[in-house]
Amino acid sequence: MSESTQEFRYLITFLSTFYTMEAEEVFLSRDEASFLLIPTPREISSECGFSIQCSAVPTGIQGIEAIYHIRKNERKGVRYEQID
Amino acid sequence: MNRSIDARALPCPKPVILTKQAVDEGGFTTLQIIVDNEPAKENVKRFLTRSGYTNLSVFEEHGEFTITTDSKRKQVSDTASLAPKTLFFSSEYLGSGDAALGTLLMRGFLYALTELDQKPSRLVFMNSSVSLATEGARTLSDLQKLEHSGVEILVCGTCLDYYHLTDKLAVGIISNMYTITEALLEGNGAVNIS
Repeated sequence: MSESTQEFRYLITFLSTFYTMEAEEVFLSRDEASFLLIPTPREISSECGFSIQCSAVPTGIQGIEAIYHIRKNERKGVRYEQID
Repeated sequence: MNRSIDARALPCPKPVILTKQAVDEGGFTTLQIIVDNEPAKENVKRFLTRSGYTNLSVFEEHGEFTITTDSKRKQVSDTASLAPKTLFFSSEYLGSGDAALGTLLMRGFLYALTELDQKPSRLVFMNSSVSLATEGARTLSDLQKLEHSGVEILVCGTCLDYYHLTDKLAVGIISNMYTITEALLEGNGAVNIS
């Protein structure tokens, strides 16, 4: 069961929704609790995409567009910092 | 004056109608409604809560329920014009097209609802959408979160029964066509999602 209340460190965006769905299968085959599939936050993309929040980025994920650090701050809210 | 309504053995939505009559007439210090099944108990409780009665108690004995309220009533009509909407779901998929995409979109939609400041007042699930509220559904934790934040979730009892999912319902309350039609016509109206 993925829990959205969990604190995730990373957010992964994908080149297309097909890759997001494929990546979810990879996460599911490993540990269901370690990720959450969500609509891509507005701060990152104005398009209607889907991304994955996770505690650790597993290997073997195809079609990654970008990986972001999720920074939470009580006053400033959530920020996403892209990892090169 | 203590007023008591015996609504046992009455078909739905009769218990709620009798309760509404008593509320409209007023003049009681306590009001008691006796019903003999779970959905009737929930429907009466919900009606009273929506009508502004917050001091409810329920006593259960031998499968019968006595719902009691005092006459204290919160004003509810002032905010009615601002009341958020009901969202009506008639399919487990969001939109028509590829099923996998429809499933993904529905999950995303329900997640996005949990992030809203101004949440809808009520979600109604009918036909195949009832599966979204059952054990094992990937939408369950978001629906539970919405219910926890005060969103009312009504799930069509006929549909759960038809799909053999009644025992698996994990969020919301089982409802019937009368309550659902009332819900769709109340407040600021309803939006069809699927």
